[in-house]
Amino acid sequence: MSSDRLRGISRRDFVRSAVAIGGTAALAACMDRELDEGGETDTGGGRFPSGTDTASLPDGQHEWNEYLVHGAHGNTSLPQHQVILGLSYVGSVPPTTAEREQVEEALSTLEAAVRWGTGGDPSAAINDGLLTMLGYTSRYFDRLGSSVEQLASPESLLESVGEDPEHADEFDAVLFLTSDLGSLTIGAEEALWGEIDGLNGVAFDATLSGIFERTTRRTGVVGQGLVADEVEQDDVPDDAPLSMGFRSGFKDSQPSEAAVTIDTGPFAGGTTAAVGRLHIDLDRWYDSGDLEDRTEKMFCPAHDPEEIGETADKLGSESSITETDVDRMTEDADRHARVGHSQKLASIRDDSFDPLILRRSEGVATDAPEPVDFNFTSIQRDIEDFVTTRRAMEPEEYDFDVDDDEHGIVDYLETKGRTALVVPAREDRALPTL
Amino acid sequence: MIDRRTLAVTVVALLTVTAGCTSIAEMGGGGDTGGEIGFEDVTGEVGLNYSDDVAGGAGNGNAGVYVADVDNDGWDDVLAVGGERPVLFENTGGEFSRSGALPEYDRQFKSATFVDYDDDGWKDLLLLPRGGGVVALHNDEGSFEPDDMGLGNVTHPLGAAPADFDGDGRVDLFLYQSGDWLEKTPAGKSALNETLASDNGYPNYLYRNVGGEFERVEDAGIEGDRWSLAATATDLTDDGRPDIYVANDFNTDVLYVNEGDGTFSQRRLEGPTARNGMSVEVADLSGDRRRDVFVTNIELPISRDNMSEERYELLERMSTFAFHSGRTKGNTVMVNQGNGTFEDRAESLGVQTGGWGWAATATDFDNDGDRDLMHATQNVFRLNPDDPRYTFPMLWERTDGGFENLAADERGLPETDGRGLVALDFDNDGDQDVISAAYGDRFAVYENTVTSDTDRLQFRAVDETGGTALGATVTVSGEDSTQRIVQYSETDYLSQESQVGHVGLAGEGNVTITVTWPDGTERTFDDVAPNQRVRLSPDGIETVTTFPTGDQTG
Repeated sequence: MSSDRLRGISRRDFVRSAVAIGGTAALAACMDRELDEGGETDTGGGRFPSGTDTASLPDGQHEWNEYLVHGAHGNTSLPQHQVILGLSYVGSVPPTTAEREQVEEALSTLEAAVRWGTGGDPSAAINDGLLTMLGYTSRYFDRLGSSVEQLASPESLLESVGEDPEHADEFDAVLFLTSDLGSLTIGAEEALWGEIDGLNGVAFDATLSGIFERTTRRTGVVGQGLVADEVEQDDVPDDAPLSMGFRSGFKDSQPSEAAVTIDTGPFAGGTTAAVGRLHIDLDRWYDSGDLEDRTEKMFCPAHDPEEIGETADKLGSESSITETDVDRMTEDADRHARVGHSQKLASIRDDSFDPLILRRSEGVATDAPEPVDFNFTSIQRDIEDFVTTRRAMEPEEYDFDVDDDEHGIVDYLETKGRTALVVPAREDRALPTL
Repeated sequence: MIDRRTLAVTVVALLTVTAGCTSIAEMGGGGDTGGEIGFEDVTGEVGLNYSDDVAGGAGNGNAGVYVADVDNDGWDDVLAVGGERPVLFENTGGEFSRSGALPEYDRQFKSATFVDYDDDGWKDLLLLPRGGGVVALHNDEGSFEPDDMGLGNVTHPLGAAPADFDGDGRVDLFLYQSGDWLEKTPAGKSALNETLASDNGYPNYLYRNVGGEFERVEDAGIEGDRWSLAATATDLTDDGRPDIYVANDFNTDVLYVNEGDGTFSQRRLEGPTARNGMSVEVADLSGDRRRDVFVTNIELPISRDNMSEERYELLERMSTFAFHSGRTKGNTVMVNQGNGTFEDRAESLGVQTGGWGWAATATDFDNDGDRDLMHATQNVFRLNPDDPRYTFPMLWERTDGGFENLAADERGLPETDGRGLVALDFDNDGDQDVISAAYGDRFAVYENTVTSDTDRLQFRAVDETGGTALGATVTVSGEDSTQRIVQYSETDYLSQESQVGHVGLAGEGNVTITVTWPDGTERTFDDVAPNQRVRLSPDGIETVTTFPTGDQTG
């Protein structure tokens, strides 16, 4: 990769462009710009916060919550930069012990090199550490001649939610890298594939090269200010953390990590992940009505923008969606000819009124040739929980008649790629077999 | 309505003002006649083992520390709040052990206040929950037992400031509440460059002590559902009546002026206080003998001039409101103009920039006769690894012209994500130690290591029952200086400091102490030796303890 593409762009675009481009040249440029003399974190010899041994980290790779930044409301904030690598497995079938050790050593070295997220600092304001998650698709297990109970093939997943199976992503595995420091996501990728000798002063004796090849590289950003900068749609509020204009990830719209953790079987302690690349028709979304209209379609007709704020910024830790809102859905359809996205998804919550899927990425894509795509990743105990949730967005699931463009937000979304993963517990993450 | 204050008290108040105006300078001159300010973390050694449990909490947590001598043995005890349950630590002679005097409550509380509500000379305790009924605990000669004081339910209380607002001899209560970040966002966060008459927090309450229980007073002029983070009740208008100063988040500070007829007039201070007010510490910081108010705020020197554009944008995005809103003006020293109006002089006094400040204390750490300043600091991020001072507690030493910022790490204070903070002399050695309540972390005891043999004096003016006489004025006069302390409940953000007054004497030798009690009684004690703690009552003066001197100190 060349850093030539970084020349001539505004400083504001620099880091996210560097992450999208990737490579050692982008890494060097990004580090110089992002970790300058006045803002460098004390890294104990390196330029990023130092890591720790794997034994001190959570059992589940997906257990990020304690290591994310928490806002004043207590909600977690996803790191700003994300790199999602679609991988092809090129190792032995079945994997050898040496290959497993190689993968584990590479990932453990990364954890030793840089801090796991915020390090658990409850009042951290910046996630200048790194969070990772490696998951495997049914294609990987197919190649090993086995299958995973909680997992569906990407084609069947798409079919089950009424989407075109042509959009199945052909990955064997997916690696997530995310941090508030774009340079750290690039550096981690470069180190894992041996394109730099080490990271943060730590040498990588083992890498993922020869075991995984990167076939798809998706990057994205999330967070207040970044989204409005990234998308070419002037109606996106400057303070909006997501392109459709509203905050997400409220405590009541996210289940606990324990609730999405597989509790029995060979992948106990792990989880499943649904990974998608979606397109949003933002022009049509913002032309479809004013703020009140969009608020009602995103939440429910009872939500008032005066009360919740332009970006839902006046809400606290909860979305204010209640069982009453769910019970009122048919009435809302009749009276308002409109129902809300959150309202619909709340209708399939569990007996404790907890949602089924935990969102881990809704980042606006920075690698897409055209605006506006975004990376959607959720984790859940069983991929069927994702299917149930996704189906709850579809108008045909409901008995009432409401125009598609008034039926939550689904009419403004288009799926461009999707797959499903099992994300093993940390101790099982290296080339699992059944 | 609260009772009208008596004419006699007003006369006494006027006399107090007059005395204040004619006395020589209060400050000790700011000369370097004290020792070197320094601290040592002795937490493990003295046994105060307690950690805050944020439990993924929203807002700013509950990490608070509250000081009172609950067993009247002359050693300040400590209540720690913020963990899974509150713990009372009994001070057993400079060391702490978990006390069995407090009933076991297997739940978290938001804040607490010690107040001798039945005026029996024993500090009672109010535990304030996030939602639910206030737990009142009567102190039965050192042991707490549940009591019904009629305080009712509260929603999000940050504390309560006791004072005798109506002059009837019984201590009343101002309970202040914030909004709850779990439920909503402060209205002021959407209006960063203005103050709001109508906010969306929870109400503050005034309770009148009617003997046996508190009654919530509805028509006293306490209005406005703000996000109040700290408040204290003490006389700020020199009329002898306790007023109430409230620091509000995302809004203006408010002074409730006690009108003496059971009502308060509300003054929205606006101007420099239209920001995030996060503490209230009352002391004469300007040197004009009037009692000023120090309020912490946020100010981090983040600028495009001292970092790259990318780094600047990263930090800015993380906490937009913290950097470039109209509210991040830094700390304020609200210098009292004597008539209930204030002028901010934090910048000229050198204490404006303090990072992300929380509870504060103004006390004489080096016993040189003037008050130094410290505040807890939220550990946000290191702006500069070579000089990361804004992740440390902020510490200032009083100098001739103002205050000099001291590097906390060179003074024995580690990086701490601080919230509550108190000064006290936990080991009765005559210097001011500090306890810090850290967010999501262990609490810490910092022993003052000042090595000077400079004289100092501690005192507590008491009423006829032996309880602290809130509102009493204690004037300590030496040959070269006079220091005047008004006793009040010392409440601050999730904190309540020791009721023991402390003054450094900077070589004054023996001093004269004059006490004016709230009922007008005045007594003067001549030729009082330094280096002791004394108990001052209308009946006389009594030595509680003596301090080591010379090379024994430390």
